[in-house]
Amino acid sequence: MKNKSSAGICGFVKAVVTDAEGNERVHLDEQNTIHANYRDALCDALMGANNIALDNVFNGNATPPPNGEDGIAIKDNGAVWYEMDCDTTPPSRAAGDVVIVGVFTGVAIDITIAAEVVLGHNFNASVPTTTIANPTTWPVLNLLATETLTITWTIKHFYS
Amino acid sequence: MKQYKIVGTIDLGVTESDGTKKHVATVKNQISFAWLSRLGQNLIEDRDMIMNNLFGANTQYPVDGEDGIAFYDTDGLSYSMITTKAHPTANTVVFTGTFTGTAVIMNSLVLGLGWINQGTIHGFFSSIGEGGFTIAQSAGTTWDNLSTAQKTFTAVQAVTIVWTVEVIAY
Repeated sequence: MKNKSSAGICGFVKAVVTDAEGNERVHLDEQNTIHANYRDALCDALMGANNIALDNVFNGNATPPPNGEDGIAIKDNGAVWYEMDCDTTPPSRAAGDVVIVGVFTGVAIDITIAAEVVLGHNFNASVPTTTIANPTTWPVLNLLATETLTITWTIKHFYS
Repeated sequence: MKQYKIVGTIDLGVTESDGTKKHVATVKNQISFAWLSRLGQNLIEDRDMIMNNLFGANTQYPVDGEDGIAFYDTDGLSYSMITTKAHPTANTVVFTGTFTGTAVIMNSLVLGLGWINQGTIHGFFSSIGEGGFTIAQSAGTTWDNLSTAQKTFTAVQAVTIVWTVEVIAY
């Protein structure tokens, strides 16, 4: 029997690089780092209006990420942030699970640390108002303009 | 790597007619499937989770549409507790319910949003299982371990429930 006295919040990130020939390189971050912003937002939601919904997601690969939009952003090493073209899947099979998919292509960038990948709500000047999570691990990735990076990010809410 | 979990504790206390205060017990709560589901939904579209229309009286039955702590006695009658809320830290919310004036046995408690008639409060947290008790499930909790005597109160006693919801790292 599941212990229902607490609800856990975790997530994982799957990153796939597809080259021009269709070959794939995969990185799996099995346990992402949930940000304290999201922790606190859950309490704020009980107290008053606090919209953190990823309901205005990025729809391009622009730099900087458009203000007021939500989703996955990536940073060229030491330089500028880009938006990933995002789609979300609401909870379905597992009631508390949310899936966000981001796609990026056409620009050569280097993403070298986990802090250069972020899932957030309401970006402003390339910084989310509410950071949901970062990956915990990330490989050095030198993405070519001809390659496509696809990030599938799952945030889980579950009985723990 | 960092994960969080939402936990809740229920502190049960009583104030006697002479003003003497007594702590009766502290137990874990249960988290409803409705709440678990809404956490995910709220990340996709803005969903109402705000406890902002709190019960303001001790009534049988609780007022439709109001939020807060309600309980059922052993006859299945429901009552509202006068409920207040506080946000003492960024990751903690505390709901306090008080009840007096009626002799009751507090068979079960529920903390939830939007009471709709009897037994269908959209409960997020409860003492025994699914909030609102509309979805049967069998998990017992430490509330069930309390004796009937610990959950029985006279009309002159004032019962206080302090329900702490916390999001913690683990």
